[in-house]
Amino acid sequence: MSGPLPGEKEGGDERGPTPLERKDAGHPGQTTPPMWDALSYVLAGPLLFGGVAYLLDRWVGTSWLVLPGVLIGMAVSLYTVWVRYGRQ
Amino acid sequence: MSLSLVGLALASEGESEGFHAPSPEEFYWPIFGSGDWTFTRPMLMMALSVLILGVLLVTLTKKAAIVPGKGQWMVEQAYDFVRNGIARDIIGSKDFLKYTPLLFSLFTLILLNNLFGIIPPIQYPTMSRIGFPIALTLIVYAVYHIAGMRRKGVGHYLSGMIPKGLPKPIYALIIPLEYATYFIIRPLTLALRLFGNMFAGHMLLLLFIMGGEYMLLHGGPGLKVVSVGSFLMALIFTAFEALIQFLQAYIFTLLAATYISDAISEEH
Amino acid sequence: MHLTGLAPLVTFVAETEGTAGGDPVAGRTPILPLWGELIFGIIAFAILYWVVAKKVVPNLEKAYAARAAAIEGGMAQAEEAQAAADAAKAQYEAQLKDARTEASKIREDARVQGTQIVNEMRGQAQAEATRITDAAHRQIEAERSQAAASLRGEVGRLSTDLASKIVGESLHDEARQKGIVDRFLAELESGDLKPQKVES
Repeated sequence: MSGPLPGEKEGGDERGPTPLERKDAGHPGQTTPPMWDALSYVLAGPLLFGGVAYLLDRWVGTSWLVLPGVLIGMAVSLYTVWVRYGRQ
Repeated sequence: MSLSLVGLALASEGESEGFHAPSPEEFYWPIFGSGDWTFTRPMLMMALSVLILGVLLVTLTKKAAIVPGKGQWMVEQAYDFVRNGIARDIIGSKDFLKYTPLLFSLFTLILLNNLFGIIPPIQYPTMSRIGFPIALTLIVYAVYHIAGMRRKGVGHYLSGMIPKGLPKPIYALIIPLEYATYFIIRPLTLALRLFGNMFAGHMLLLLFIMGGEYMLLHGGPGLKVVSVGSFLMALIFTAFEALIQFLQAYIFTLLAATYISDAISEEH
Repeated sequence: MHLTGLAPLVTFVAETEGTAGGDPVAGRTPILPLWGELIFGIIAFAILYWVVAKKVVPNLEKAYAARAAAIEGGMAQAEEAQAAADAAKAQYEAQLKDARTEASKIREDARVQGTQIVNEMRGQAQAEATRITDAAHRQIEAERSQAAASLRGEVGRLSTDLASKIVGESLHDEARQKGIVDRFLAELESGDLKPQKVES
């Protein structure tokens, strides 16, 4: 990691990094969310698509759309989880 | 799951003898006032926790000694855990210092309030009242969205949420899902996870203790024996709860850091 | 973890929807917040955050920075001491080497100078000897020529005396006038004159 450290402007003052800053350097940060967060995706699909299907049901007057909606939602959720967590 | 089964079993058995399984109303402890603006016991506990933490943290770190005393050392362990173990590792060297106070406040406040659940004479987890997890979630929600928008601009921030390089037709399904996740489900699960764990944990302890007490006082000789098992379970679950309480404080802080990191990180 | 939390929750949502205690908020679904608690939570957190951000974290970071600097400083100090020791050693060695060089140079100089002095003395002595010998030679020469001169005069006078006695009159003046004796001696020296019996 060669970017400027916290509190240091790029090309600004000429002081070198303090010992603490040097110690803190080199942590790139984590771009993949931890597994705890996969729950959000797993819930989002069924809730979103099931919800849309429920509204469609009420609008059109049918009553069978919720189940396929939830199923599609689960599929999309699993796909997204795979894209986010399993693809690297 | 097991909780509701046990609860139902006890409730149905106890109905004839007058046993009432613990209900959500057990969580409502008004002190004065009424309606939405009642001053409640969890509010008092929250105020107490802020007071304890504020006084403790400030007095123990006032000296800022290079060679820490016992008190400062203990605070430093907790601070180290949040600063290096969560903030630095997840947000990265460049930005983590700015968010360390937020994450440290979150962690200590949640942990102490969770531990209230097993500390006599309080024995009530503040976070089992959903208002408090929602309050903390709203703050985290505002922080990471604002940080992301300020870092990348609103347009880039919103487009950065969608994974790149997928087959075109899939985007019709992915885009609504991603936005629903980022803006609705994430904060919802963040708040509900903490609330649910504290609520269920407290419920479980209440059930074992109240059940044990009822069986001991009103049951026959057989039930009196069973009540010992019930109290024993309460004891075991108290230890188990301590673990959950720590874990939930950790997970909440960890996820807050993850959301911030996700919002301000460049690549995706 | 959360699932154990959510399952009974759903049950309670259904169970408690209708219940109404003394205060209507008492029986509110547990997943709907009491607004007072929500607002109170935000304020409480804001206060704690302010204290942590303004007092606690700066102090801890200060201690961290000082500690890191102390550790680093200690290392730097040790390095500095090592460097100083190395420098001193190098300087000492350099000085030692200089001293050695100087000593050998002095010795060399002395040797050269000694030789020079000896040579000089020898030269002087030689010159003195030559001078003395020359002076002696000159003196001898001078004495010899003086002796020769006086001898010549003496020989002249004796021969004239002798001749006068034979002739009976003084020939001195005439001999002197004519340089006879000198001529005779010169002829004698050059060997032109052969000794002969005096006739008559």
